[in-house]
Parts: sequence; C-alpha cells; structure tokens
Amino acid sequence: MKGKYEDWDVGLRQMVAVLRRPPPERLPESFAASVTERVLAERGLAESDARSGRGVCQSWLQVLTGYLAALFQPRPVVVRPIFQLAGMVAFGGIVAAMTLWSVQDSGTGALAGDPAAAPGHAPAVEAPVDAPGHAPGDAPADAYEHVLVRFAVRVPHASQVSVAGDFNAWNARQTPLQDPEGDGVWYALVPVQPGVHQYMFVIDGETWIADPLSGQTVDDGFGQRNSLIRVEPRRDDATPDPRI
Amino acid sequence: MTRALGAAHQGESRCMGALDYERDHQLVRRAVRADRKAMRQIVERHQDRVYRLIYRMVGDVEVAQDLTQETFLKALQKLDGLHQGQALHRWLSQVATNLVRDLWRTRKERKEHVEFDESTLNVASPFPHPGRDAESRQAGERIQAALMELPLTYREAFLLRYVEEMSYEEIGETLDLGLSAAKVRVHRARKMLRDLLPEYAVDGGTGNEG
Repeated sequence: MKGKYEDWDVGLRQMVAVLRRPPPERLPESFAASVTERVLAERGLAESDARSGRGVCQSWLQVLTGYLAALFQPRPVVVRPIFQLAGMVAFGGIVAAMTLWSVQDSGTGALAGDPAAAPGHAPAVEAPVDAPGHAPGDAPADAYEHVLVRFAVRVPHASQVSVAGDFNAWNARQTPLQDPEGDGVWYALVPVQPGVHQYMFVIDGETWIADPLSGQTVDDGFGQRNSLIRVEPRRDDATPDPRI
Repeated sequence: MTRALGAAHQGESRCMGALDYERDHQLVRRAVRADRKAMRQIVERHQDRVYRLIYRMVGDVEVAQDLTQETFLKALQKLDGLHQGQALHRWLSQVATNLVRDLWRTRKERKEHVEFDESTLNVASPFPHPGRDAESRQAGERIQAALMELPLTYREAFLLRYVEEMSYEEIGETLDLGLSAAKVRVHRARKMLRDLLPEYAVDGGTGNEG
C-alpha cells in the first residue's frame, strides 16, 4: 500500500504548496451566520430555532439580510412559454389543494379547540392522555387515522407555551398551547398518529423542558431528556379501557 | 451502531481525525433538528476548505464565494441525505464539485469564456510575505493559470488528490468514478501540469501510480 506522499516529487510539492494557500480574498466575517439564517428562513424556523437563546430582533435582522443578499445574486432563468403555462396550472392546483386542505384542517381544529372538550382547572399536568380512553366524547380521529391527544402543563408565569415533538418536526411554533383561564395551566388537543413519540414543552420560545409528570423519558443525546408518549390506534368499536 | 459507524469511517477520511469525524457527526445530528448553533459551527469548521477548493476550480473570487454559499445552503438543507458513515468534509466536496460542474455546463451552453481571469489574483494577499511577496504571488498566478488550462474533470481530480489529500477511493466516490479512472485522471492531470509548468517538472520520474 502506498503512503500518502509516495507519488509526490519536489516540483509537485512546490505546486501543491502554492495551491493550498487561501484565496486572495477571505470570506465575509458574517458568512457562517448569514448562511445559517438563510437555511433556517427557508425552513421557516428562523424564529423558533431551539436552544440558541438569541433575540428575536437579531434573528429577523439576519433573516432579512439573508433574503436581501439572495435578491441581489444574479440568476439567469430561461423558461419556455409552455413550461410557464404548465407552471401556472400547477401553481393554481397547489393553491386549490392547500385551500381545501386548510379548510378541512380547520374543521378538525375547531373540534380540537372546543372548550367544552377541554379540561377544567387542572392543578397539575394532565398530558399525555391517550385518546382511546379520553377522547371518544371529545372528538373523532381525522381521516388520516390521527388520534387527538391532550397535552397540558402548569407554567404559571409563562407568556407563551408550545409543544414540540417528532409529530410536528420539532417545530416550536407550530403547536401553541392555550391558557384561556389565565391560571397557568396550558393545554392543547393535538392530532398525533398512533405510535411512540418524543416531545418537549417550549416555554416562551426558548426554554425546553420535559413533561414534568410524564413517567417515561429518553435521552435526547444532548444532555437533556425527551418525554415519551405512546398513542394507541383509535378503535371505533372498542369498549372503554378499564385501566384508564 | 457506534461500532458500524466507526468501521465505516475508518476507510472514509484519511485527512480528518476520528475526533473531527465524531464532532461533525454530532453537529449533523443537531443540525438536522434545526439547531442554529450546530449549523453555524458546521459552516465555520468547513468554510475555508470548501471556499479554497471552489476557488481553485473556478479561479474567480466572486464566483467562488457565491458557490461556497450555495454549497452550504444546499448541504444544510439536505443534511438528512448524508448517510451514516460518510464523512461530512467529503460530502461537502461532492456538493461543491457538482455545483462547479453545473456552472461550467451552463457557461458552455451559453458559450461564455470559461478561462481563468488572472486579474482576480491581483489582490493583495491576506498573508503578506515581505520581500518575496511579488515573486510568490507571481508563482501563484502562474500555477493557478496553468491549473485553469486543464479540463475541469482533470482539475477537480488533481485538487481532490493533492490539495484535499483524498485517497483514490474517496476521489472515485466523490466524482462518481471507478478506482482506476480516478487514478488515471490524477496521473494525466499531473502530467498536463508538468507540461504547462516545465520549471516544476523536477524529479518527475517518481510519479508512476496510474
């Protein structure tokens, strides 16, 4: 087996030494920050990025800078008219599909957010609650076999609480909890597919905590523990589970 | 799984230590979950190397900076496509070379001039060497200009082998070539450069690995 430098001679070494020099101009100081913000902006997560502790104003400034930089990048585009037409038709189809989908979604959401279905003044955490035991009177599973799960946590002085887990791609903004009574008990009904899921609560957009009353947790690999929830599939003809 | 990852990575990255690999692997796992700090650290750890590789391939600072940005945007958006055991630095090199190929293809289709623009090197070096700066810069320009004379396929193989210090196996995987094809490209690129730069063709008889 040949060593790394076995095929090198003096002339080659001299050439390579020159080619290993950095380019004549450095990258901008803000290069890494700018790229990161653009990626997060395109993912729609710039503000909700977890665990960085940055101010919202600074994040938005960087997002704006990233967008402006992208606007000024030259990008030649050549489009055939037939593709333009096809693109417009496709765009119209997508908009129509999304509109229909959101209408359907909001119908489910109304059921989920029904105050009559929500718990009263819970003194402690009630989530996770498996739907087969608690949801039959609340709301049915949706067309995708989701089960409505009630997440609740007591956080007296928070101004914003949400739940993030693998069921919503760990998006800290997507699933906010509500505290309509103003008593510090935050809750939400969330459609979740059957299976075992990891989740955490996000307090004021930056503090991530495991569910304090969840008995099952798992190491997240970064020094914290995620809470675990097992969601059983909905059984229309099932009798109430005596264990719950 | 740890054992499998370790075994896979042994053949993967000669020029990175095991600690670098493990660190990258941890950062990737966090970045997939949209961890801003992890993403930023990934860029900071690799930006200079990727920028240099692209600059040596295109010979233009502005284009290289744009493509470096594109490389990281594309890579960070598709981090879940990085299969376990694959070194991050080699994957980034692969994304970068693909972007340069796309650029070259576009320029060829539009019949643009794709040769090296020497004026871009007339910028003061960020690391000046008093006394021999002018001579050193001149040598740099000559070598970069000669490199730009090579067809892109040979240029990228040469840079991956000698500047990025990849093994022939890694070059083959990065450029989607077989092992022998990678060796042939590197060998021919070296020969072309020696023909273009005869003053560097000293002791040239040892390089017979094709």
